[in-house]
Amino acid sequence: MTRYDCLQALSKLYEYLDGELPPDDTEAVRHHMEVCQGCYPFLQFCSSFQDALHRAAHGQTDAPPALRSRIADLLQTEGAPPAH
Amino acid sequence: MDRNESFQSEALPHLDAVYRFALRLSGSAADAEDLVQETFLRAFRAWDQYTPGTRAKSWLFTICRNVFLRQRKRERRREETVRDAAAEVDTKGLQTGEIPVFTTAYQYDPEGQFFAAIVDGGILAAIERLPDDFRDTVILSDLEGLAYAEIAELLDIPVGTVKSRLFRGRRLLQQVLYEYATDTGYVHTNPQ
Repeated sequence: MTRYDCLQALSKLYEYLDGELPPDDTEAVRHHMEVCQGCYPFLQFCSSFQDALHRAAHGQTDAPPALRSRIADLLQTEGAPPAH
Repeated sequence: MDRNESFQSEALPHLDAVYRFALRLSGSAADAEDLVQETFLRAFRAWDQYTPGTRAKSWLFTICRNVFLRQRKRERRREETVRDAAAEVDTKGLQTGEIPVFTTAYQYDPEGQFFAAIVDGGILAAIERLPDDFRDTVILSDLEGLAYAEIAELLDIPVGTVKSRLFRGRRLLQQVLYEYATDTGYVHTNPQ
């Protein structure tokens, strides 16, 4: 199994949290974070940060209903079969 | 399923996300609406080029960004001021260490619980204050859930640049949120 030191684990931390690492590297970061008392708090810190961003994403602005209707009308006009 | 139906089921569900993306690009609700309208019109006309079942969201974002960039060539935006202000924050301490915000916050709130206390509006406002390049990657990754490869394709940059922009953008955002949290009392930095 791949083993990471602190520098390697921290440099891959966001890729780990974003689910962008291959399985071997994911496991290496996870293992390092489990056993390293120095790095684990930073994982918690970054997780709290990203949790807050993901939560905020749900409070984002939606498209105005009038725009939605306008696009529906536009597409209907575009998609209408050509007149014969 | 015909062309109209597949567009309805695969593209239109992303209308809110595309609107938000357009809003951030343009900075105005009226411009965003025009941008979204143009994006969906172009997407509909080019729908035959879309591969069903792939990520329609990033495809729509790409169209939206291209439309915006073409318009932007004609109308210069007032971005330098914001960029300079944010860069100043960055140089105040962010370039000196790998995890400076964490190092500071660790004394008072090691698990970063203050992030959870900040209201959504405060977080979204802080994201808006990031320099454009960092803001776009943070939004696309953390708010819209796009993969690194999708962001790279959308912004026409290498995946390595996506990673570095995310790293720096998140670090900058952590700094801004930490300052917001200390200013508003979510983090107590003065010993009682």
